[in-house]
Amino acid sequence: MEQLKNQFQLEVSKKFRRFDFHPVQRKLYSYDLSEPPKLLKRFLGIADVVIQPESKEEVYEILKIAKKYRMPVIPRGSATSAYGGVLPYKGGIVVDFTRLNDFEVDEDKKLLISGAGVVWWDVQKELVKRGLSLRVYPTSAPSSTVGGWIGQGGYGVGSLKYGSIAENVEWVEVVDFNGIGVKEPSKFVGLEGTTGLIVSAAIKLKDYDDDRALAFNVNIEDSIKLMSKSKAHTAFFYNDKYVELLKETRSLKIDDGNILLLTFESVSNTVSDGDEEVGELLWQDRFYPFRMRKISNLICVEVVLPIQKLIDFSKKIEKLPFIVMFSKTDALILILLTVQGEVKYSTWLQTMKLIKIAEKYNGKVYSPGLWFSYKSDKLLSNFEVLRSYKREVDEYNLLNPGKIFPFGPIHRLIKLADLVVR
Amino acid sequence: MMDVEVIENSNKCARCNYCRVCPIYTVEGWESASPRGKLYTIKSLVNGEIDVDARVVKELFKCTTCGSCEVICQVEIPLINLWENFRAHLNSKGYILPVHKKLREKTFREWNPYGESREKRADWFKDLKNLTSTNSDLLYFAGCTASYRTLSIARDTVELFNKTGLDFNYAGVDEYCCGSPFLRTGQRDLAQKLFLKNYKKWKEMGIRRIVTSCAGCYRTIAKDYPKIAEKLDYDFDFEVLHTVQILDEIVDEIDFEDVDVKATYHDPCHLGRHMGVYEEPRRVIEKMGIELIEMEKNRENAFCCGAGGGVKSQFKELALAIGELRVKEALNTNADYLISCCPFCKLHISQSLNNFDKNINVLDIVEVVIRTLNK
Ligand SMILES: Cc1cc2nc3c(=O)[nH]c(=O)nc-3n(C[C@H](O)[C@H](O)[C@H](O)COP(=O)(O)OP(=O)(O)OC[C@H]3O[C@@H](n4cnc5c(N)ncnc54)[C@H](O)[C@@H]3O)c2cc1C
Ligand code: SF4
Ligand code: SF4
Repeated sequence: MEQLKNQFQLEVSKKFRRFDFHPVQRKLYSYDLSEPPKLLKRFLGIADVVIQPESKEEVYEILKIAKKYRMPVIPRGSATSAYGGVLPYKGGIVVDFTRLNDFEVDEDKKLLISGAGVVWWDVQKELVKRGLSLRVYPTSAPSSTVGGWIGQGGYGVGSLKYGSIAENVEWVEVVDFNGIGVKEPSKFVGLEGTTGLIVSAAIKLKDYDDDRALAFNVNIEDSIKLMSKSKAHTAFFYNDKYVELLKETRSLKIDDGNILLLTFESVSNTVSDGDEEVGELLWQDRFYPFRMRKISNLICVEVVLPIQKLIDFSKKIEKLPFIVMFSKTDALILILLTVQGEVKYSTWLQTMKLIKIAEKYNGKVYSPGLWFSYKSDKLLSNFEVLRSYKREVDEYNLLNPGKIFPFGPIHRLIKLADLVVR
Repeated sequence: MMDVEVIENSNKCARCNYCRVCPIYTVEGWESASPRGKLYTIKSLVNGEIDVDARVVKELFKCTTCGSCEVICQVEIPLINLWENFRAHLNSKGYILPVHKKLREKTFREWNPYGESREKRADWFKDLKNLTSTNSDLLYFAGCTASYRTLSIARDTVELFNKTGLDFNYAGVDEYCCGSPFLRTGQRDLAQKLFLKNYKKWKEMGIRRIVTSCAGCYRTIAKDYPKIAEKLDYDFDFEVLHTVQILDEIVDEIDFEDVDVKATYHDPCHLGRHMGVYEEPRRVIEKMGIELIEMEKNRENAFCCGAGGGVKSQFKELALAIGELRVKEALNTNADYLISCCPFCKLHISQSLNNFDKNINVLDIVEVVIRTLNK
């Protein structure tokens, strides 16, 4: 065993320029945004090594070594996700993609051809200089990566008009045990690297236009009406409890009550009323949903519901601060839970209770990741197709094991808790 | 015992990684070098999940205390203080990096971290002695770098004071290092000693106002000295200024030659993010008739030169790699001059320029003023 470990270390040291076996570095590449309670932490491993590939060929070399030593491979962007996707649950090689950070712009086709490690806001700044812009980006854009958001999937700024990230990826270039190849994205977006590691992707762009943000003091019913008939690219709803918190932490000069924020490309803005000053304040604040942690520890529960069910569901959570991010058909709701002291098992039970309530309204948890992999068959419409693809390309279950496709004890423990919660 | 504030604040981190703007992380690219990673390291140490070893200590000292992380942090963690407090904690446990230890020894011997002879501290001033006024309550504090390395800044400053009729006094060989390198690297005992030596001299001289050329000295004397004084129960009734603040006040009365040059301005971290002085130098540059072209990262978002916080002394290559990134940004402006307001930034940026074919004149703002005065 020890001999095999030494051999592995030697091979990694010979093949790669950027790697680290130090125990503290390995620990630093073994967390994400989630705070698992002690009970779950016991089942979580840490990385055996961290490698920072500098080319797609190096990524392929990593997979060859992984296969040889039967080591799990965990892709990692900026680790700003919160579903356990980047956790080296069973140990293994953490592949830090941040060095694959080159990009090109095809101005004619309005496509960004981007390395997996490119950070969204870095590339947006360059695009703007060329008169182009991303159509969608996550509100973690100042740090999150192209590969990370594609791997995670989801909605972001721009999703009201342009849909989820899945609808904005033209193709992905993927490395699996068979080699490197360009693929159609549906088996990779939101699959957290379980079906292959994304090394680059083509992302749809739009012409740049100034954003114009307007705020409206309206309740959720009116927000839905206003939002649906507007030509906004982004719509966020902040409930009164959230606005209260926002005012406390940011000393923003805004009125109490619910707020709808609509943001338009200035050419397509047909709405003239709405508060521009408050709109601009909230728009500038879009990257900072965690400011509230300044005053107390909190965790964020994220559920997605069909828009028609939002009004009824919102009544169930009206006492809690929440934000809604709208897509064309769905509402992504971020509910904030204040936590006294450290995150305990009971906090997780509370989270699951909220998810359960959402499920009664045809809602679902935002992403399976590690924690909710036992729900994948319900979260992903083509789960069986994906599972058979996974089996085909990953014979030994080395590609981010335990994520999306349930494996090991963690999903069972959480499922058990799920059964307990009423 | 570790400062409770350090523990509480490191627990606040939301792990969003917005602090990836850190110059150390930008160059090294490893979590251990990022502010988020450092906070997680501290948290893990506090929880007893990891042990301190030489590597961990080294990583925790890779920080120029530039404050970029503090400016961007969405949870508003007072990170500069946190880094300094944690370094003080490491020091108290006997963890000190070899070069920082050497600086300490040199300073105990000669009262400057360069280890230069104390007797030579005022050599730059030998032929300028007649410019001082022993009656003045305004002290010029040159600082170690301008006294031993970038002498022209000190010389031009006193010449400028003289030309503009500003009476000032100077402590000569009785000027001691302000203690900035030691406060930033957690060696608070030595910083306190240096405070006491300077303080005693200033009181003897009847000083009421202190003006310094160095951004690091300015932060230390204006922000840290009052805290040390409070701790020791001393009164601290000095007004502390940076040269550029004086320049900003008198610039309208200065007669400048017509110039046709372009300059870019590098915000020293200790003057900008630490003390909020952003507009004064820009006003002075513009009043001199120089066209100011901003670098992409400026003011609050300015990229550090790489030298501060004990990084230049202990991690030379890392400091140079950061400096080179800043130089690249400056060269991209195609300006003729890179102006700054800190002898240490000037020294380091000039050295970082060595590997480039393209050139840019690196000067302190006072040197530029002296060169453009109407003779
Ligand atoms: C402040 C803040 C705001 C946020 N806002 C949003 C938002 O608006 N919308 C949203 O959906 N999420 C949001 N998130 C969550 C998260 O930031 C996003 O999912 C983000 O895009 C993840 O990017 P990352 O680079 O951090 O990826 P990581 O967290 O590193 O990875 C995410 C997942 O993708 C996998 N992965 C990483 N790289 C690759 C690759 N190259 N190939 C294959 N798989 C890979 C990982 O294994 C993991 O499972 C937010 C988070 C924060 C902290
Ligand atoms: S102060 Fe500067 S160098 Fe230090 S951690 Fe923060 S950003 Fe990095
Ligand atoms: S910006 Fe602040 S909250 Fe975010 S990771 Fe850095 S230190 Fe933590």
